[in-house]
Amino acid sequence: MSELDPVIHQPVRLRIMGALCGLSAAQQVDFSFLKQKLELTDGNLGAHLTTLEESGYIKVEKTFVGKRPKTFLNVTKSGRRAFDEHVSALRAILENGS
Amino acid sequence: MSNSPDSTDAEHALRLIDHSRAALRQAVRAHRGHLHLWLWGTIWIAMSISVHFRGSGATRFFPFLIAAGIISSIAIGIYQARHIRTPLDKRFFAALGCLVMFALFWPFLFGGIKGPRADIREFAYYSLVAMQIYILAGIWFDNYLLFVGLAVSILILIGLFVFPEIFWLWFAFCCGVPIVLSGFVVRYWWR
Repeated sequence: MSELDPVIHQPVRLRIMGALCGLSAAQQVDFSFLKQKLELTDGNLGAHLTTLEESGYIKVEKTFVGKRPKTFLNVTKSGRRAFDEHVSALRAILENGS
Repeated sequence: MSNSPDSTDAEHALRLIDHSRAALRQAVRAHRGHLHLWLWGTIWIAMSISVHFRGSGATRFFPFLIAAGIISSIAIGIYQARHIRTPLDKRFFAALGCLVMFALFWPFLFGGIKGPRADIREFAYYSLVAMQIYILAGIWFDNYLLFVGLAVSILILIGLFVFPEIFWLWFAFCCGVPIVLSGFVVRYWWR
């Protein structure tokens, strides 16, 4: 049976992972765009992304578009697997009603 | 949220996930290939309609239309990549390069496309090459392109072999229009 992942279970990280797992495996989303869509601040999003990156759940790629620095994010295979298991665990709790 | 959640917490967590997905879903849809499908479908319609009404002399405008299409496609790609991007896949571009080189050079090596209705056979040939690019991209990235490529390839062949007398009209309405319509499907309904 799937278990809840304490890294993903934190509400902001849950939203981040939920959004990123909605992208295809090859797609990457811009940091500022994700911040705007999830209505988070730079510091808040940055701190949670660091936690997720340290857990190996997301990949952070810093690059330049023209002369402007850009940060693109996507979820890793292990991150997607962990998120799927977390969602399964949540559904199991809901179905069991405990 | 509690570390040992009950069903209320679980329901709340699943709702959070749904909301964050919904927030990004519209953006993901806006970054699909529908703009390219609308662009190239329209170019195909313009090309075939112009030949139908103005004769084969209209083909001299084809290189300009294709160049405008390529430039527009690149501009769309750059614009879309500001928020959501798909990093370039070198192996895909290598495979694409091989396909294009092969498709462009073999007619010259074997003396070109000659004989009756060479105009429509040549146009159908290069259109089929374009559809093989869709199929390749569909296998590599997103399977809707595979379906569009296969369906339009079949329609091109039907036009060439079954309706050669009305080929240009067939091409506009049964190949160009479906590509434009597939753009709407991809934009609004494809999941």
